[in-house]
Amino acid sequence: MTSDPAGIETLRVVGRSLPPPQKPKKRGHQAPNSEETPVVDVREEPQQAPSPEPPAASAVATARPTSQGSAAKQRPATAAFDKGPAKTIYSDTRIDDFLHQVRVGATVARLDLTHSAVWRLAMHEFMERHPPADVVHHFTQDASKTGQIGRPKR
Amino acid sequence: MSKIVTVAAYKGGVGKTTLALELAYVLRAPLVDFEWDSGGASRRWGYRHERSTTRPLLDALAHPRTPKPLVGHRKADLVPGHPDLSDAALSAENVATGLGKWAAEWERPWVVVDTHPGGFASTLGAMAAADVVVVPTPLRSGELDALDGMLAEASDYPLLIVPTMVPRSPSASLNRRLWEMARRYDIPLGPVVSWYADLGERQQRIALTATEPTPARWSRYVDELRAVAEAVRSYGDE
Repeated sequence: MTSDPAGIETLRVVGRSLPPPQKPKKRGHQAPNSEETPVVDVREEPQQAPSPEPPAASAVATARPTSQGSAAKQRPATAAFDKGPAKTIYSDTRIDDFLHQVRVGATVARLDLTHSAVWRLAMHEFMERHPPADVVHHFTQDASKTGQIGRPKR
Repeated sequence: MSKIVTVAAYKGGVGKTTLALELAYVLRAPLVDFEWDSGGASRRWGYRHERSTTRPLLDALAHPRTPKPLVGHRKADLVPGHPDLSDAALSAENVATGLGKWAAEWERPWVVVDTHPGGFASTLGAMAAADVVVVPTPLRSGELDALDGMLAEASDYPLLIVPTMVPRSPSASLNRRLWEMARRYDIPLGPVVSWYADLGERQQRIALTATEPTPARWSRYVDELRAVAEAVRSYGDE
């Protein structure tokens, strides 16, 4: 009786060998930079909020993890925020598409950028430009077009 | 001089065939289909091997000659696969040599090769001949395990990882894992292709990138596919 009747040891040694690539990869191409920081999870770090410039929609198509510099451009700066209560926001298709594009662009840039973070950014910019009275005035004007208060009858 | 783009992954169901069909159309390239199971690019293209008496790809490899691609209308030209490819005694070297010769004789700027999932000889040969090996990779644990194995074996190949089927809210930990792998093996990441639930229900044979005008619901997907094609074109330029 042999010590290895099934020849298993032989199989282990042989394994799979790949042929050498005829056109091996060029060095120094677009691999992620080793000094880049890992994904920033906005949800896990309440001290951080996105920058005023989230990745543009066009970045989705072209963004590659090229270098620390380009990744840094897309990485939101951080700013403190006080975590408030969860709210339900009813969006529309256009906003939803925009948020999706930001989300995909952020994924390419190694960011876990939540919709809430983008929404907070939008709200803070909006609040800087419009005091509450302006907002109320805007909707009051809308209401005055119908001469009615509340939801229009169907 | 023709450049060869091989779409390969060690795991099935990652979007290889869909990506290969569309890439081939966008790059105006003939598609060489090394898939032997039903459900591959040839079947989706509209080719039925059971209605043919020839095996264009196998015959071309067995009796060294250059196959003539079937002409596609609003889809890429095709050198179809055949079930017998699974039993054929192909060597990676023969496949690589054949592809290089065909690409030179076809005189097309690009040739796209779709492969069977896993490290079969035909896949390894197509990878060896490639100027770019596109590796579709969904952000899922099993697929990332398979990618890890592939990168460990083939990190010297001109690989381009393309995250596919990316959901609206991708997992941060899986995203981080993909990035760490790409960094560890010094492999570039290409543009993202998102998850489209309706894609599997599509029955048309023509390439989505060939639809004119592009239906609104596919416009983002088509943009993503064109971005992948652009990443392939510019691979290694920088």
